[in-house]
Amino acid sequence: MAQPTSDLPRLTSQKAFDEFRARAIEKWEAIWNGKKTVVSIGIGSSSIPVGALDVMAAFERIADKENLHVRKTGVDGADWTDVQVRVKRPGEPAVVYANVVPSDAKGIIDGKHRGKIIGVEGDQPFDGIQPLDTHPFYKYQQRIVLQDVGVIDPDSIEEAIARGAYMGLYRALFELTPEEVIAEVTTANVRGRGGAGFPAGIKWESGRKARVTPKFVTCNSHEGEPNVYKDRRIHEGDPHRVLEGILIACVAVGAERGYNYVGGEYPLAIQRFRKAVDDATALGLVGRDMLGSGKNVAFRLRTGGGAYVCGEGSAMMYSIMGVRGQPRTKPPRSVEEGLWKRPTVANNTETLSNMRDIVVKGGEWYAQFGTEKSKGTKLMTVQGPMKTMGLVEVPMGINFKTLIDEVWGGMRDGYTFKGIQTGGVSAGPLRYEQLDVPVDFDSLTPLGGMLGSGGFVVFDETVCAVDFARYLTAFNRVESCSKCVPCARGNPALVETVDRIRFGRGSQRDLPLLERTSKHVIELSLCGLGQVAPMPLLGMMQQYPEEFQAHIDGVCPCGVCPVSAEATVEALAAD
Amino acid sequence: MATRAETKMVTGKINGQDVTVPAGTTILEAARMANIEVPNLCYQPLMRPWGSCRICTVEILGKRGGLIESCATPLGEGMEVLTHSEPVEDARQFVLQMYLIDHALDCPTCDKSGECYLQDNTYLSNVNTNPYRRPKFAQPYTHFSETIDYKFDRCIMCNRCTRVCDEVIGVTAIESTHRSIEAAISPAFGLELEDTLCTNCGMCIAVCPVGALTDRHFAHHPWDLDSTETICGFCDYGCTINVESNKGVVRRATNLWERGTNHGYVCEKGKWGHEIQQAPDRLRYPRVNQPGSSGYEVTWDDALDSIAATLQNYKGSEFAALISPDDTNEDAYLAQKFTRAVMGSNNVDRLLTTSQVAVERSVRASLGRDVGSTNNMQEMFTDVHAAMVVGPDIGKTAPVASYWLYHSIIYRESKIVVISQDEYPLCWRAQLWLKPNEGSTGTLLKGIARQIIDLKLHAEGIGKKDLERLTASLADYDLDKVARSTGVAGDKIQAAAVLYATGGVGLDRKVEDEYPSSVIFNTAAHIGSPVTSGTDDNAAEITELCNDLALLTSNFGRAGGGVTTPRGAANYQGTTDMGVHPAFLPGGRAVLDDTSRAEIEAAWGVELPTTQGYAIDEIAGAIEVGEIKALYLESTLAKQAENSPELLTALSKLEFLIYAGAFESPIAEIADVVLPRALSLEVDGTFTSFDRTVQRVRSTVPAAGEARPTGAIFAGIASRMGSNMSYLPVSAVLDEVGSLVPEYGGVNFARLERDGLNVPVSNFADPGASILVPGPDGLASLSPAFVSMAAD
Ligand SMILES: Cc1cc2nc3c(=O)[nH]c(=O)nc-3n(C[C@H](O)[C@H](O)[C@H](O)COP(=O)(O)O)c2cc1C
Ligand code: SF4
Ligand code: SF4
Ligand code: SF4
Ligand code: SF4
Ligand code: FES
Repeated sequence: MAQPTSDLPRLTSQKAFDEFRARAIEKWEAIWNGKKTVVSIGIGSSSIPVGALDVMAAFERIADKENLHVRKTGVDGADWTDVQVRVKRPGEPAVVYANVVPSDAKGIIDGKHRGKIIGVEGDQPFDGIQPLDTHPFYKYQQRIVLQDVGVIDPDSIEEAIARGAYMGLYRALFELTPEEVIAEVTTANVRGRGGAGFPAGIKWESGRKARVTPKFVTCNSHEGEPNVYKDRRIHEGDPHRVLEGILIACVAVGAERGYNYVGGEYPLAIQRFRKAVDDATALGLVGRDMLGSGKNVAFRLRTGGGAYVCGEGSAMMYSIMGVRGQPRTKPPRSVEEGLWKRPTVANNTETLSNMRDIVVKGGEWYAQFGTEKSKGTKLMTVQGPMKTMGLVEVPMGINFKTLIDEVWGGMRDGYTFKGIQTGGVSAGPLRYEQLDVPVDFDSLTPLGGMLGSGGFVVFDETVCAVDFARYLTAFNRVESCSKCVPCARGNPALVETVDRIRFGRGSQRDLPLLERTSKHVIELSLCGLGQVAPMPLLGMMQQYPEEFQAHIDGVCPCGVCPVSAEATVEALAAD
Repeated sequence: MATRAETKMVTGKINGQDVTVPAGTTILEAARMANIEVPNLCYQPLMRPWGSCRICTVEILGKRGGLIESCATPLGEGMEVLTHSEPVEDARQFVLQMYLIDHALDCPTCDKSGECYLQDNTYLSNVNTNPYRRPKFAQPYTHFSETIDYKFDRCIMCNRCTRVCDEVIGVTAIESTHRSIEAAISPAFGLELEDTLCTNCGMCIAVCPVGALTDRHFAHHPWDLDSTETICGFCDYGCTINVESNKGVVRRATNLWERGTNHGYVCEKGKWGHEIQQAPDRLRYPRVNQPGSSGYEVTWDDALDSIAATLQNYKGSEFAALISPDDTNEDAYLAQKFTRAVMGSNNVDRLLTTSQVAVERSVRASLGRDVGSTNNMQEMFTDVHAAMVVGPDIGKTAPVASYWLYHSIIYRESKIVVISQDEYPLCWRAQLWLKPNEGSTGTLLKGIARQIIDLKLHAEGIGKKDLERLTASLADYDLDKVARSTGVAGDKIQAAAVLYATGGVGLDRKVEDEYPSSVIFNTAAHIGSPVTSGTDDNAAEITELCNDLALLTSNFGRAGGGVTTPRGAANYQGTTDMGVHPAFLPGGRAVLDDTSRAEIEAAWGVELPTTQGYAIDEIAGAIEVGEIKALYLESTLAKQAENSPELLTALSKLEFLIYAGAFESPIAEIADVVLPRALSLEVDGTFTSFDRTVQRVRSTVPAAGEARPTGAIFAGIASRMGSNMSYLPVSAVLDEVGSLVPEYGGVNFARLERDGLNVPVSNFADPGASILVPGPDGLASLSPAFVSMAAD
């Protein structure tokens, strides 16, 4: 466990912060301009399972002998490169190695393993190595939220501050009025990244205008959706950015209490974020009289218990209050009556993580990225048999084909693209022919897809549409909070009907029944979960009608469903 | 309901009919007001909308319309709503089909069959087939407790049960667990229900729309029951209950939602207390005990004859009667009339505890007359937003009053200070809980009063004389000293003073005009009761100070203000008003006051004794010294006599003891004559609750054995002693009360048929007084001139 940095001074004025920052920048420069070779190892939830800690240990063992400065960073998103190591020799740009194993350490320092190099930092080729940014995975990225992920040591508040952390808060405290902060956010037109795409500026404005006190800001870092892992990565790679976003929101809205609600399944994110809060509190960035500005924000971290629905705004608030996390009917909206019936502004982690740059560089600057209606960049994650899989930050409106074929490198050898599931568990899949579209909040919806929180799953020809539809529906069936009948009982009914088809017992009547059931579940459910739960199934039925028909006729074209009697037994045993 | 600041009204159209309601009214409630029934399952009046069943779905017409749950959506201006359009019916069918996939459908053996919302709605929506078929997802019965069963397969997860337990009962003893169709109700925190804070109120069963939570003591078909609306006889809150019986046996008590001072909600005693009616140790037949031999049963005639003959020898002050404060007004009136008019004795009193007596005297001293509450409960329910709750656990002593406190916290965020040695759920939900050392509650209240004066938070309107008196009496109670002797931190004492005096507003916020009101609930009358702690507190002192605090802050006479002092026994207030008191004749007229006495003498046509009788706490002594030789002693539900050692010892000195009891008791062994008395479930008459609501008590089943009501017993003895006192019809007894007691002048059975009436009610046009307002020269003038609030 990381210990809070013990020797942090308490900064009680603007000037004290300026001085602290200047020292932090000096230290940061010293690392890179020193006489040692700096070895940075990306350590995060994706690289630890493939041995990142061992790689780090291997370098540390030879550090003295080889005159190395071995440091950890977050994982920059290129999961296909894990464990990624960046080696910067004095006077040279950092060389980036992929898929490093512990036994590579000595060799890398000795200049071997050139085959593992994927690029160099900076914009010039070096030693015959192309700049990293020319690699398709990086080429299309525009990193705002992720700019320091993979760069700084997430456990070091000094490194974060050296790289500009808390400058947004600084401006919000000393240079701008809350109204001006909100004006920048409105100009930036940043829409909520939690899935619904509601403009953050408008939400903050309503929060600011609410007259009841105390007010609250909650950061929604629950991320219980399968196949999405962006928010957790921000926490792991740059926790201060999240905290700063929350603090800016508090100051802008006039809330003296901020919460971050993190999924309990993400221990590393929680650990690093907690450290960030401790350090920021020690420095006087959080709490009473922040940096001597006279403003106060009490901050709390809350962790969830693992129910997907607790990511829904009102359910999250109940969970924070310590009651069963279930959505409630609206009105009133959360900005009117949220936590403890007080005005509460809830934003997604990624939404809030943009705030530093919006406040420092201005809404206009931010609005230059993206499209007319979807400004800025978007974090996107993918799963499936892709060549260069991982988390990327690309401008809104990037062409879907570019994203898949270039950024994520297309299908691995031996796999054929069949479709891409969009919107997590909240929308349907798209086929390849449909992918010549910009990826933004609004363009996918008419096709039956959805941007949602930017989590995609590419599936290949061996994946059965019926089986996959069943998986996605079953997720919602299991995660339904049980509050309202259409969702709590409608989703099981959908799963059973699909199962009937999967097991070769389906009939022609089942398809209209699925449609009827879906219609009611969508129309009658209380919260977003139920209102979109049947979408993946409907999408699959729409995109792959022939497969559903084939099952009813007694064959699973992919050979995965237990349509025949013998298979039934096996599949049952496997369940 | 008290008038409030002008509320905005909105008009919408429901099924083509214009409906105008206050803004914020839900579509479902607006429809109810227009007599349009929208089906619902999870909706429960008084609780927050939940929105789980979706059967209340209605269609909103127009561009932004669609299907929407009517129980949670406010009617908007110009909104057009259809409650039974085709898409709506289709949606309801779907919802019901969903329920019925897993629902047990064991109607033939379900207690709820015949009054089940799911059954009704299935029928109403004509759901007869279900395209969703699979083996039902079932789980075995669970016994939650000795009284409550849970059947998973019938549960529709509407959460009415968990919500009532949390929002109204305030204990959160049950919760929902798991998700999706696996979701279930279970005792909180995975405990056994009896290890939770469950009060066994049964309200979870009561609100369950289906047969998922069932009453383990009930086993009958609902359609095979006769039901009678009456008033619970267990405490002076006066809850309306619906007693259901079959062939003369009470089977259960159910709830009449939105009816009575309790809006239908009751406590454990209201729910299951009726079982004492069938207790095996009921006294069923009159009995005579002969010295040296065991008693033998006799006929009523024989018993009454022998009593009448014997009592001839004890006329005058040698006779005393101790009457149960559980008796109806009519019974109590006849009991005191018999004692005074037939026996010529003022030795008549209610069977009370030391604390009850102390509280009574203290209230009389400060208010001039004994009233349980200056403000009625309905008004408390709608207006309380700041309260100080003093004394033993109000959740046990006046349970339904505590429900309204929880309710006010949830709906109005009312600010509450609890001052109690008991730790109970309200302490945790209150703004402040002050726990004074044993015996120091009075000191603490003095400290609070002193703080109010020190902080200049007392009302401008308080008389100079009163202020001087209080200031002088509080001279010794500075903060530090009070903090030391009560063990309560000084800042908490101050905070309590501020909260109470400012109506919960606090000092930070400026208010124009005056601070909002605060109410005091004082349960000191329950000090020493076996269910609470804090036995050596001074009930009289606490009571006096509660009244002083209200005086100091001008909280008397205001909506949501005043002082409420529940006493315990079901008809404490009524038996007192009826003159079951050694010093007061009916209507609180002093025995010593010649004019008052003359009025009653004229009405009764007899001469009355001129000296005060012995009070309950003096009677044992008077027996010991031989001044009282014959005693008519009633039983009470609280077993007052049995719990009083002095009285028990004194009884053996009597020459003649009549014991009129409902149950076997050691006293029945030593009494000369034992008379079986009817319980309130078996009698007709009226009760007056502590908030002065006169309500109709109805006989729900024939009395056990030959048990008779008190009034009938006294009428029987009187006629054998040559006096004419009639008991039947009971309504005539109340009419006689009305003619003698001005405060009951406008009360009769006919009016009570509709609803309770808050006395004073001087005539048949008087709607009653929800709040008592003190007169011009302080509280003394509260008596006898009650001023009634204009009805609203
Ligand atoms: C079932 C369900 C799960 C959700 N999970 C999340 C989540 O994990 N993280 C999140 O930010 N928003 C989630 N949301 C969306 C939130 O309700 C809310 O719209 C969002 O947090 C608002 O922040 P934003 O405006 O910044 O996007 C979820 C919504 C639903 C219906
Ligand atoms: S739609 Fe599903 S998740 Fe949402 S409230 Fe209803 S049951 Fe719960
Ligand atoms: S009996 Fe009363 S207290 Fe107990 S669980 Fe039911 S509602 Fe709650
Ligand atoms: S037990 Fe009854 S009241 Fe409770 S959730 Fe189930 S159906 Fe509703
Ligand atoms: S609160 Fe009193 S009157 Fe009401 S049910 Fe309980 S015992 Fe009976
Ligand atoms: S009554 Fe409206 S959702 Fe249940």
